[in-house]
Amino acid sequence: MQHGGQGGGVRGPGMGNCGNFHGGFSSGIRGRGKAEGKEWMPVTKLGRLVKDMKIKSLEEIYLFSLPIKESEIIDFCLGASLKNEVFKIMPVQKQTCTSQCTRFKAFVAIRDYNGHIGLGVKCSKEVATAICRAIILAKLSIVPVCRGYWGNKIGKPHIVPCKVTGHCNSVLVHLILMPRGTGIVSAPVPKKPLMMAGIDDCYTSARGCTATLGNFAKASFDAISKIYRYLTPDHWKETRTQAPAVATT
Amino acid sequence: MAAVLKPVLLGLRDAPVHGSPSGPGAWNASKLGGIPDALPTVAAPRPVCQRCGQPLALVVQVYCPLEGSAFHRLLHVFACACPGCSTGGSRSWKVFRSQCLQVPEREAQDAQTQENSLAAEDWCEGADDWGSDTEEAPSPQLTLDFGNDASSAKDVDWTARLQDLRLQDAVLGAAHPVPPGEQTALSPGLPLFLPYYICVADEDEYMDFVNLDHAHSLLRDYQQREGIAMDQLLSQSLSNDGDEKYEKTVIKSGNQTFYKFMKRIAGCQEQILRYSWSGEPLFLTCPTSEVTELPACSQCGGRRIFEFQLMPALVSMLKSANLGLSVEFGTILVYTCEKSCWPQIIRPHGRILYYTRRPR
Repeated sequence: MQHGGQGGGVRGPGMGNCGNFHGGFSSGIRGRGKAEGKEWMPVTKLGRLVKDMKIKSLEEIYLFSLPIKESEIIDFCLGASLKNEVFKIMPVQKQTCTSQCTRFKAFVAIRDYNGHIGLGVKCSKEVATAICRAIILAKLSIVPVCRGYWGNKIGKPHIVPCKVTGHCNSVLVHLILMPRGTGIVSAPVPKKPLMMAGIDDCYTSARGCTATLGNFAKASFDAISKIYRYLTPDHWKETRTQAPAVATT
Repeated sequence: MAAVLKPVLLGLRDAPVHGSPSGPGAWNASKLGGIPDALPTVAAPRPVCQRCGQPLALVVQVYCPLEGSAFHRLLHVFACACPGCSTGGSRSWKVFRSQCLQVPEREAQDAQTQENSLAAEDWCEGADDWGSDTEEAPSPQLTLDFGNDASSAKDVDWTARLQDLRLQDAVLGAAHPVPPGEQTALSPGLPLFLPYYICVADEDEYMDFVNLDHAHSLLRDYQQREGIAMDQLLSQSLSNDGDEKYEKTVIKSGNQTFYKFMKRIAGCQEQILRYSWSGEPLFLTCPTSEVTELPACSQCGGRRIFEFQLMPALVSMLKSANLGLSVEFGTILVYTCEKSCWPQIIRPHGRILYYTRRPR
């Protein structure tokens, strides 16, 4: 029979063993393995607000520059209109003392046909895992795209509203606006993200080591995401809004 | 990563609790929400918030006897559900640990002896069978406890003596002394969350679940478009030499710790509790100094070790009958005394450390 003594005299629990956490009156074994249609359980407060439909669109989140940490938020807001596309898969190698270790780097671009675009890059030992993780990263990096007109405001917006420059390490990418009908004049690598963003006419100018595909793609993506950071005259007027977290408490 | 990872048990929400069960069936069960059940010899804790003075609501009750120990062990986690205190940090949270000696088994009946020896040695195995019985019939280990409590006059005397001790002693700490008869009575104005049982699963069962079908279809599209096959991909590596390098993922929003947290729970998103005695907690954000330097146990001066943590999925599961009650947290880490000390004179134990971590 064991007595609970005081302080150090207590016979301690099995050191190094696990404690024992019993379940209660459990109604059967939980479903294990693949669960079809698993419900999303938000981890962050923003996730909870989105799930409860207190925040209805991504634009409200962008307005306050709230960091989006869960990719399910994007799924919830944009849902079925999201399309993924594998940009490029390339093997990369790391030299170890014994041999070379090969991993696959996947570039995945994601877009919805309504002015949102994202780019994800992930390395992994298997291609499928790399693609899967790159999709999540692409969702986390979704940015809105603003398009404008070159001359008369006829028809739909088709170009970047102003000259922008994006850079990633040594690569610089300039996007220059052009009249309708020019098409995208660029190397094949930035052409993909520009087409996905819905930009129809653009000149590009690149500088730096553009042979590095990763940097080149990221630089063009960076250029696209800088569009909204540019303060155009129609944004000069002051507006007052309330942050979603404050508004809903 | 040379250290062997300790096994982690996950707590998942189960069936709702009906009525107000009492007796060993109540304090033997882990549940979320509801009224705290107390061990037979200990008063149920009724703490108040340090910030606002309101009574705290029960968040989780965990029945977790230690392997090889002769004590029933119950942990209660309380939180303040007032809107003002929900972001209050660790001051609006309280954790209580109570223990009670398992009444020794009689050796009169052989069958009972066998069952008892099984219980003493194989507590961990029993945990896996817990869930396989139907809802109505109590599981085998529970009947053992019933047998212990009711079988002999000697046992009852022992329990009664312990109860006498409790009634005579002054109860310290913030818990109000509640005589056993009133334990199930609801005092008006006590904040309450809807109670559910918690069932237990092993983390390993959920670890390898990743759905790669979509990735494979994308890969097929890519191969079709570019017109190359998988083996050609590999051979490309030999031709171009180090233009592209391995890239460490840099996440724009959030940090690396959070990304790892999300990856780890991706297999089982509905987990509300991670139990790992003396294991490593899964941090939500980079741990601050208050977590890495833990104060020692206030009762025995021993080291404190990690026992379990509450996960963010619990926040959306804590619903109350009257709206307005909510708790907000990232994750709550509970550290308890390594020796699980319990004094000779039985008092409810308070002040086990708790930390809250909240992502912005």
